[in-house]
Amino acid sequence: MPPSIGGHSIDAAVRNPDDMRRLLNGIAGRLAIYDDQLGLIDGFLDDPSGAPASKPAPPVAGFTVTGIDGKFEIQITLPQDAQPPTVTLYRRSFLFDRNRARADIVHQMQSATNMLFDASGNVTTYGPTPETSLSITNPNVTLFWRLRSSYDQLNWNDWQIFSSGSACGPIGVSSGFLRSTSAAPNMALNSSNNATVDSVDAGSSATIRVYGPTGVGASWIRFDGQTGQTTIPSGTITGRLYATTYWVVYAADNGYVTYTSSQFNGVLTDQVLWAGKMTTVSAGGGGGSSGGGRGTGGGSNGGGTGGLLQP
Amino acid sequence: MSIRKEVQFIAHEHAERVILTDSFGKQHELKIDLLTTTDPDGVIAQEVQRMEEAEARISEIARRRGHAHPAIQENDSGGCKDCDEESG
Repeated sequence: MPPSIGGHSIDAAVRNPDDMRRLLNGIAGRLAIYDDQLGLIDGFLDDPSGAPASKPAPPVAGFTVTGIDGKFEIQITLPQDAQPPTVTLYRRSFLFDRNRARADIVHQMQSATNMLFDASGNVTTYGPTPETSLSITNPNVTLFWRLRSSYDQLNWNDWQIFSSGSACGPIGVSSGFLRSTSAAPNMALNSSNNATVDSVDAGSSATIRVYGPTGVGASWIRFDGQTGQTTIPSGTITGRLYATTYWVVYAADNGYVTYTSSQFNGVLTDQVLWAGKMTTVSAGGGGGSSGGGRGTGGGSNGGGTGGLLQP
Repeated sequence: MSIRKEVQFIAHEHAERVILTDSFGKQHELKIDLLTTTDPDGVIAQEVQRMEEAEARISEIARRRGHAHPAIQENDSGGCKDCDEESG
């Protein structure tokens, strides 16, 4: 078999300039592989006698930002640890700096509410830090992220904005809500509403009515402790027992639900909105008490108009 | 004008959730206990009637005061000259 290098025949190269170019490219590629294995680029990178006065900016590091449970999880991949996605890119990477000598790299990150990272974007800077794994707690926000790296904190490479392959470009990351299991049990929670929760006699059972300030059929508003307001449709719940105390709640997926005092075990999910505690009328329509923020039950029934609700 | 009715069966509560929406988008929800409510259809009909009356009353007031809303103007041609000529 005639001698060849990387599948390129030496005999053919002698006769044909194109074959010669392919042969020399093959040799250059092989040398690049050996250099990569040995940490050589025109000499040893960590040669103390050849230390440069200033270090150039390092190659770009990869990074991903994931939002989960009110946190941003940031994972930085150092250039030497990056896995080129194709064999061709892997071979091409031999020709470029990939921090083969594993010099220390520091990173700086910035978050902003817009992609321009300008004064109106409420830019926050993190680092410089050599850490490659960061967890930043900042619940319920959507932010853009960018990263730059340096060997010496003087020469930085260009900012790169976090991009998503699925969005085919820069994308804001939502940190999501804190899980309620992250919070202490029985945390103070201010909420009130302007609902009235009362009942009428429907002949053989009581019918509970939930309605807003303008009367039966009017929607009501739930006020939370952060000035938020949620409008809830008025409601009617049939078939309730006479002269019985009910806790009335509303959930977007399930509508109105009533509970008696013995039914509270494990039934109240986070999405449930409190309407009021009330006591249904007796047969014939007498008795009972109303609840909700506008209820007149007093005390634990709501404390009158606009009162804080205590279940 | 009419009341749109959406019914969901809430099996684990033995109940029916009925969401009534009028042409203005106003909603009223019924949770009907199917075990103990003697006349579920009657309860729904009663609420529908109440909402229709309220809707008619609001429509009349809104029309008189010159408010614009698709629920009030659904029979109007929208000022289209051809439509006016056709109908007229």
